Amino acid sequence: MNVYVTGIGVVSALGIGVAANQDALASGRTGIVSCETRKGPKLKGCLSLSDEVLKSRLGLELSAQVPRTAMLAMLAAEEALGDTVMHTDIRSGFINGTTTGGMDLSEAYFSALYLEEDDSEMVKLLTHDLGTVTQLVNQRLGFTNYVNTLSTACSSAANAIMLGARMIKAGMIDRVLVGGVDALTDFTVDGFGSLMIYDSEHCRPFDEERVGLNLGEGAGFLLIENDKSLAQSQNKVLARCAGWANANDAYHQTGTSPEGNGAALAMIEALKVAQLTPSAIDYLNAHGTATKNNDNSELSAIDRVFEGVDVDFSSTKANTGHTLAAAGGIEAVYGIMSILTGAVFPNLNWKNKMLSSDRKPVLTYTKKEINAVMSNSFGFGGNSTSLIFTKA
Amino acid sequence: MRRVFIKSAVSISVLDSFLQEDLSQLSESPNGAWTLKEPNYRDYVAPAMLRRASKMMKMSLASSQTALEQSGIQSPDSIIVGTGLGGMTDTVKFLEGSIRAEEGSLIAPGAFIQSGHNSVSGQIALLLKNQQYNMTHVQKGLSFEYALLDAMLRVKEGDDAVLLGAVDEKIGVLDQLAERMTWPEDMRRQLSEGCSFFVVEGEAATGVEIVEVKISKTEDLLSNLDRLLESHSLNLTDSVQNFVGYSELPKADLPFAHQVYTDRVGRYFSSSAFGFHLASDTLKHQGKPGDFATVIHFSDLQFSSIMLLRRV
Repeated sequence: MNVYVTGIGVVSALGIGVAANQDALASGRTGIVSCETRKGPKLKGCLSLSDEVLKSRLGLELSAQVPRTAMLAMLAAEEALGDTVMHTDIRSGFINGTTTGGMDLSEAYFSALYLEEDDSEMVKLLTHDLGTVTQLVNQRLGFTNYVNTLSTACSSAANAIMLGARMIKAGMIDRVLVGGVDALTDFTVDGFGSLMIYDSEHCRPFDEERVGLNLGEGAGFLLIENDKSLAQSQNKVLARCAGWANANDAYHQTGTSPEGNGAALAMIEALKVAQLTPSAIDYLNAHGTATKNNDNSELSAIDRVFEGVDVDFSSTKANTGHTLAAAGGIEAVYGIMSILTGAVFPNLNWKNKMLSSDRKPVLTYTKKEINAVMSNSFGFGGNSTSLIFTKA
Repeated sequence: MRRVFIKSAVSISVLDSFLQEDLSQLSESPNGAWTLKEPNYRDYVAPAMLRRASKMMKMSLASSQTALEQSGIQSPDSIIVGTGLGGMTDTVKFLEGSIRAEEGSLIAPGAFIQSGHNSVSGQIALLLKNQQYNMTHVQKGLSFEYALLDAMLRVKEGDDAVLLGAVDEKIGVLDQLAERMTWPEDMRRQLSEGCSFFVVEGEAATGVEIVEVKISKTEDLLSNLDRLLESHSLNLTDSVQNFVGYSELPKADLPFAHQVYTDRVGRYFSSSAFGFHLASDTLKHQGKPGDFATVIHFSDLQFSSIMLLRRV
C-alpha cells in the first residue's frame, strides 16, 4: 500500500508557511534571536507574532483560552490540509505529536500563584493536557474517526508521521494529518538550562566546539493518503512516505549512547522498510541538536549506517532552534521541500570538523536531484525515529 | 490478519487489585475512600530509583515487571504506554522550581527529566535494556484505547508480545481544580488514580481475545455499539457483562444491563484499562469459549470508545 504525501504545512521562527521557510533556508537565514525573559536574555527561535496577533490571524476571540501550541498547530495543519474536504467514505484521522501542550498558560497560572499569591486564573489549567490541545486544533479540522496525540519528547512528531503511515499501510485508515507542535515555554527553556545544555550563543550543530542547543517553536504537518483517498481528494502527490522506524537507545534517561545504537537501529530499519540502500539517500536532515552528546552519537551512527557512503547531511536546528516535539514534523516538511525544489539546505554556524568522524555537514545551499531523503528525530527516554521520503 | 490475545494483566487501583487472580471477585472499597492500595514497592523498584521516582513511575515499574513475569516474556517486542496527564507530580515540582529560581541560579534537573510523558515507557526500556519500538499515547480518556490500538497493530505487523500499559496519578492541584470549576458532584468525588499493565500476544490456542477496539463520536456511541456487535453477529443482551466507565461525562441512564467500573475504582484518564482488565478476568474465570464482554467508555463530549473481548 502506497503512502502518498499530498500536503505540507509549517510554522517556525523562519516564518509562517512553506514559502517563507523555503526562502529562509535557501538564503541561510536564522530565526534565532535574543529574547528578554524574566531571567535575562536568551537566544530562542521564536515566531515573532504575539498570541494576540495569532488569534486575530486565526479569527479567534481575543478572550478565547487557546494555548499558543494549539495556534501554531492550527496554522501548519490548515496549510497541510489545503482544500481537502472530509468525505464520509474516507476514514480520516489526525495524529499530533507534542510535549508542551497548554504549558504556556499553565505556567502563567503558576507564576501568578507562586510570585504574586494570585490563584484567580486557575481556569488556565483546563487546557494543560496534550490531548485537549489536539482536540482544540481538531475542532477546526473536523476529523471524527481517529484523533490522537503522541508524546515521546523530541521524536513526537516523527512518531506521529510513522504511526499514520503504518495505519495506512495496514489498511486501518485512508487519510491522516500527521506531525507535531511545540511552543516556547519557560518550563522547557529552564529544563534544558538545568541540564547545562543550553548555548548562550548561537548553536553550532556538528561543530567540534559546540556546547549546546537553542530552543525554538513551531509546527509541521503532512497530509498522507492511500490510493482510495487520493482518488476522492484529487490532491497532487508531493512525495511518498517510504520508510519509518522507531528503536530505543536504552542507554540513559536523557543522554544517548556514544555509539548511537538507537539511532543506528532506527536508520537501518527505516532503510529496510523503504527497501533502499544507504547510497540511495540524497539528503539526510539530521537531528543535530548541537549538544555534545547528540551530535557525537548521531554522527557515530551515521558513520556506521552510511559506511563508505558520502551522504549529504545537515541540521536545520541553527535556523529554527530545537523545536522539540515539532522538530520531526518541521524537518519532514523540509525534507519534502528538498525533494520538490531539488536542493540541500546548509548547516549554519559550522567551523570545526568533529574529531570523532571524517564527515562534515553541507555548508552551502546546493541544488541537485533529490530522489530520497532521510529525516532523524531522537528524544529523551532513548526514543529514536528515522523517516524516509521519496520522490513522487 | 493475526488475532490478538491477553497473556497477562496487573492493576494497581484503590481496590486491592494488585496480584489478584480475578478482579471480578474483588470486594468494594469503602464508600468514597479513594486511597490507592499500593504494593510494597521495595519488592519491585531499586532503592536509588525508589527515592526519586514519582507515584506514577513506581506504580508502572511494579505493574510492568509483574505483568512480564506472569507472561513468562523477558523482553517484549514493543513497549506501549497510555497516559492522560503524564508525570504531574514532577511537572508541578519543576514548574515551581523554575518559577521561583532567580536569574543565573541553578535548578535541579531531576523533576524536568521525569516530567516527560514518555518517562515511563523509556524507563522500562532502560531497565530491560530493550531496544524495540517504544511509544506513549496521550489522548485524555482514550489514552489507553489508542495505546491498545497501536499494540494490536504491532501484533498484526508481526510482534509476538507487546508490553502495554496505562497509568495516571492524582495530585492535589486536580482536586482544587475540580472544586474551583464546580465539576458535577460525582466527577469531583470520583477523581482517582491507577495503573494497569498487560502483555498482549499474537495467536494463542486459548484465552481472551481482543476482538475489536472502536473510537466513536460520543453522540453515536450507542448506535455504533449495536453496529459493532451486529458485524460480529452478537447481541448485547448475550454478553457475560457490559463494563461501563465515565471520564469527563456524567453518568447516563443506559437501556441495558451493565456494571460501572468507574464507580469502583474512580475516574482517571486511563481508567478504561481497569475496565478492560475486569472484562478480561471475568471472561477468563467465568466464561466459556464463545462468550464475550464489552467495555463501553464515555470519555468526553467529543469522543468515546467501545472494546469487545471474547473467550476463546
